Amino acid sequence: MPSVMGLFQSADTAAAAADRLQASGFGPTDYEVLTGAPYPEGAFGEDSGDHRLFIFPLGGAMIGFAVGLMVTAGTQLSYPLVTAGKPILGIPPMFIIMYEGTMLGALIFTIMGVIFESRLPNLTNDLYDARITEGYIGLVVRCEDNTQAETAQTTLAEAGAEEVKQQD
Amino acid sequence: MLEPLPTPAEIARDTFSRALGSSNAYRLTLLVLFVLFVGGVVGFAIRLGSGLEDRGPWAYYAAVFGFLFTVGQAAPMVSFVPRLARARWHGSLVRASQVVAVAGLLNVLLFLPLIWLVPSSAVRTTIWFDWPWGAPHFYDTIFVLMLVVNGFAFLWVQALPDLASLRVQSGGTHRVARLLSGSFIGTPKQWKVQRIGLAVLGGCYVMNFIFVQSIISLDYVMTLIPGWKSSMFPAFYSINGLLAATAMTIVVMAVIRRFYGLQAYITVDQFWNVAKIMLALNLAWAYHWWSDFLTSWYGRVPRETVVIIGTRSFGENTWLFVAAFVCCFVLPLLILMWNPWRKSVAGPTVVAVLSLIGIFIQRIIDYVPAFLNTQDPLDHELHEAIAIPWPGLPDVLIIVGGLAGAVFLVTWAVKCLGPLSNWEMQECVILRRNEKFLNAEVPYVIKPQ
Repeated sequence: MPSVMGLFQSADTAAAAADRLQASGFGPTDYEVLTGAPYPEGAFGEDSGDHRLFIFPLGGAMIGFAVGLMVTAGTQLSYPLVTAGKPILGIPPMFIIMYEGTMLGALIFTIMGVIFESRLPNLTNDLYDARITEGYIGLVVRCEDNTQAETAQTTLAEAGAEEVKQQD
Repeated sequence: MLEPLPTPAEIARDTFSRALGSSNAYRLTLLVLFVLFVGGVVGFAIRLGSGLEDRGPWAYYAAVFGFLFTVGQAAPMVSFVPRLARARWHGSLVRASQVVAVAGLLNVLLFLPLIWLVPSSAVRTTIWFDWPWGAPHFYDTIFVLMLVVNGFAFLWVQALPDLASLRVQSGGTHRVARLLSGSFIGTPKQWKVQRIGLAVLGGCYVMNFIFVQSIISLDYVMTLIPGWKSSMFPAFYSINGLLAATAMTIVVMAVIRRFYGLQAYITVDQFWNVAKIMLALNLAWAYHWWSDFLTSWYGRVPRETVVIIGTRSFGENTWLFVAAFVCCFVLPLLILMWNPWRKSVAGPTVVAVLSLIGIFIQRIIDYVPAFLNTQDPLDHELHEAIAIPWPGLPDVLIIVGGLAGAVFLVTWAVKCLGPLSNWEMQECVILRRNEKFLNAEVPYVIKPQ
């Protein structure tokens, strides 16, 4: 499927171009905004999509807690030594390791979540321009066919794009 | 009239040129630091020659670890707090604060010999209550590794967009950027995930930092001295860490500002705002020490007095305590209580350097007596206060080499990632407008929900 990218020097022009794209029949999920810094969500009328990052630290924390609980309870029950009249399953020392497990699980799964949700190992060769890192805005339109790609090219050029690129 | 804001293009040009360029001064600095670090390795080898059976000779080594672990692991928190409060003045201090996390690599290496030096929890009164296996060595190692990994992950997620930009700007020749930036291109979803990732990792970091510092203070300091039971000490130890965080950030900021010529970006605003937090922490330092001291001074329980007063304040080591007290409380208060000095670059920088010196002395007071103690940690009380001796030649080499090693790593990382966070600076500019309000021009800051 062809992709078309329009490169805009200012955010105002890019936002106006996004409006034109929508007026030309492209939906909020049909184009992607590429920026060198985060803009408020929906600033370009785009649909940034859902993510499930919250699940990762939560899941990791639960797994870590469970492992911590098993290690502590298992160790204590396997070596049932009464120390200073304290119960075999003493909460204070168990808490330390359970906390450690919880935090470690949350941490590892968060890193995995960031990598997965950001699709960091992305092997597709997407359109990009070095000027985006200098404040330019890139609008990438994913088209179904060449006719749609031509419409996108015309719309972006008329909206004031400094450069329009196409990738088949 | 407010000064005009830089454009994103100007920010990008200034940050990338400094990250991708190189100078002889930079290479010479790294060389000198490396030579000093090698000296530290020699000092370590001398100590290793005397074996790991006796803790005493390793007392200053432990103090260096304590200091670097406090400072290196604390600084990243400074970037998290303003972000949590949705402040918009912190963009130019983020890199200075987070980059210190790379010193964690050295901290892990410094920690390893300490595992062999302290006894297991079975032969001293610890929070582990005769835990059957691995306490405290195994679990403490995991704690230290966890905090260091958390620091690196926090730094990586924050620097991810900048690494991606460096990869593009260098044409793929920046090896670190190529390796670590993945395929980040700045889509709205990637920004959203990055923002939430930073919030989660930052939150985890604060929780881990306080907890790990408390555990280390108990296992490597307090429980090595017989009869010393203080609920204030772990809190005091952690307060040192929080103070070190602000102080180290200010020092790195001042150095970056001066040597990379970033006066236009790192302004008095950043120093002023962090200095206010630092002053509060200077006061908190004194308050925590006072709370510990007063109870013991008033109670006059011999086993407390010999440690808290005799060893740690007005006894054998008065001169060291007074130096720490003056550096961490008296001088900072006298300097930062005046607004013109607080609202400057020099005032907070001087206080930050003093605070770091004070914290280093405090770590000597913490670790050296604990490692020099020859009594059984299970004894009811310490019989005599422990005097802290001057460091020997191997100790001096270890102190200088350890500090140089940490500075080497931070200097390299600042150059490698860039002295400023390009995307955070650009975001600050994007979300700010200088507008007229009645007859005055004021900055409007957009805070998206």
